[in-house]
Amino acid sequence: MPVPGLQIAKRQLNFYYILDISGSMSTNGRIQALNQSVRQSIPKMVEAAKSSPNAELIVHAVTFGSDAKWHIYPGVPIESFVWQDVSASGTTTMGAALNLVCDDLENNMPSRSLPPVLVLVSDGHPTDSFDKSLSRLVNSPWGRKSVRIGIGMGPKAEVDWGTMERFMFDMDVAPLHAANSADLANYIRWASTVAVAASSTGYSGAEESAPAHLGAPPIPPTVIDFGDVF
Amino acid sequence: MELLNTRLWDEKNSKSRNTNEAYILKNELGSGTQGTVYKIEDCEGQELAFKAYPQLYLDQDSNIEKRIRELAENGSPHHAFLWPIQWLKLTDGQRTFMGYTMPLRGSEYIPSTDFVNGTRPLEFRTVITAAKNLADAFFHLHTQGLCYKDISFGNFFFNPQNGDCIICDIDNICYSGEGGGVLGTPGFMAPEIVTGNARPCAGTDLHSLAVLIFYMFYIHHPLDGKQETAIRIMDDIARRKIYGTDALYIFHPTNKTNCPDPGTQSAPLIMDEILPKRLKDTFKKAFVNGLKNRDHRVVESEWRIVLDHIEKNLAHCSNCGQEVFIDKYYPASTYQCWNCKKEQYPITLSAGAEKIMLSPGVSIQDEYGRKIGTIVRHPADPKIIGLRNETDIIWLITKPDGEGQRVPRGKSVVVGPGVVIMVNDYKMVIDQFK
Repeated sequence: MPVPGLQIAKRQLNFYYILDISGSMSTNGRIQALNQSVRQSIPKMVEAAKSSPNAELIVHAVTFGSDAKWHIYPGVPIESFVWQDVSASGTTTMGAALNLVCDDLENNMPSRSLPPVLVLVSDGHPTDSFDKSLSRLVNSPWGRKSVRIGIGMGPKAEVDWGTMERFMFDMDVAPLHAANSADLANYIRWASTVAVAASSTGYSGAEESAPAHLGAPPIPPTVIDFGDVF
Repeated sequence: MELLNTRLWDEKNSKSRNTNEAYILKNELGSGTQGTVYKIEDCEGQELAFKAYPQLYLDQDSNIEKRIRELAENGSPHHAFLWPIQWLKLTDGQRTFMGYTMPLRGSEYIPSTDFVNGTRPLEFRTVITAAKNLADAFFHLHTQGLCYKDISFGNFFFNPQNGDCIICDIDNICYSGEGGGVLGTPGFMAPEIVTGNARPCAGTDLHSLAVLIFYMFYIHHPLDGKQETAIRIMDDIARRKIYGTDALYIFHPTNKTNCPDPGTQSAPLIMDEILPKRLKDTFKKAFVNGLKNRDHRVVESEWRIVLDHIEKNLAHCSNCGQEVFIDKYYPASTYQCWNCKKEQYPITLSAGAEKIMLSPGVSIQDEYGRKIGTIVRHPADPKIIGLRNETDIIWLITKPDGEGQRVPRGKSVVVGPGVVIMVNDYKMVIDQFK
């Protein structure tokens, strides 16, 4: 029989999708692929949350085009997370998007929490002051400890890799390159499960690595066939 | 996905491509950083699990093929392990999949996280049985000189009906003290591994096992006390402190600085009022004396004795239906139910010289040690317990008022003081332990 009042102690894990919906995302089915990839990642995230019993996974989403807007706010528990499609137009206000996340991290974090997870997906160059927002993130207590994954989308030459690399300061892995929709689906799935595990359970590494470092595990290879271009 | 129902064959045996010695890849069962597990069917139609490693992982752990081949050759030390059957390099002509086959995990097994999440509350007896099975499995592994390295609740499943266990992810098993593989899962690693002063071995497995058993009983980590609550952002630097350099048992008998915080860590405080002294003393040994000294850790054979003892001393509260651990029942005394606070005597079954304390899940044997019945809860009222007839003999019951009853197979008799059960000429008397 259940013991009355017995509940496992949990910490919140705040997860933020930061998604590029600028005009360039409207070409070659990119925005459709992004919508589907996020939607497809939900079941795996629910699974990841279940296998981290001490974590209470809360998902937020911010989008940036001509302006940055919360798409899902306040955050919702992963069990009740439903993805509504976004459409693409306008410029790339990535800095403004990061500012919205900083606002939330600075004002709304509970007193005890797991490192937040930030997943940035973009196909181009920011058109606003991204580095100013980034330095705000770096200098905030929650931002500095966050697990950050940047996914560059589309042809390699078009992505601003410098921005992506700066976004992933202190992380052990390089930004991911999603050359096609299959990559994107895999990487978003990876980011939303492995990064959640890295935040909630901590680093479980091979013996060569220092145990104290929160590094992201290696990326699984793409197992779906290549082919579609966007 | 287009991989499904692909025909694969052993790359080393090119003949199998053209014969019927191929495998059919059925579906994906799960994936993680260490690989993807598929359900496959061999040429005889037998379904197996196949764990395929990503190339990156094979590059990192160059010894893995040799290790798995050896494990497969030596055979499983205990039935709970999903032990490798064969190392295979399968191909469909374009891609190769390297990994090993193992038995499939039955659908009756649930992840241990479902239990600690509170989604599947269990009877204490089932938790005890599951812990005993774990102790048995690791006893056999360790006495073969092997170590597991990554004991945590992510790697173990159990049957909520009877406490049977499955231990998966055997990839890291090797002879104790030998290199390769992982360090473990944070929170489950021994403090000396967290601080970088040791590598995984059988002695560090014992710490992980004690953490896992503690988690099963307390739904909490043995080192997560006020030190943990004081930390705002739980990252690896904080984990290194709590589980490594500053590790301190939350129920340390003298140093109370890391006791549980009643506001956020209520589970261990609730369970500490319920669990028996014998078990708590064993945890104290594991996390006080044994925390930083691996020679003082609790070995599996000791867990087994302690768990057997508390299993035999689990009573049933007939007032509220909860299971109650009894610390001292001999010489006879009453106990108070932790839940409804009622003072009572345990209900027992006497047969010959033996006296058994009754609560749900107790299995009853005849004079030859054959199982004849199980104590079950009444489906309409879980407070009421009965003994289910699991034999083909019709039991003859005498109720306390002298009335007779017949109990065929599958039916149960409500147990209470004064009931007499005859199985042919084997007599069992229900009494209260006075």
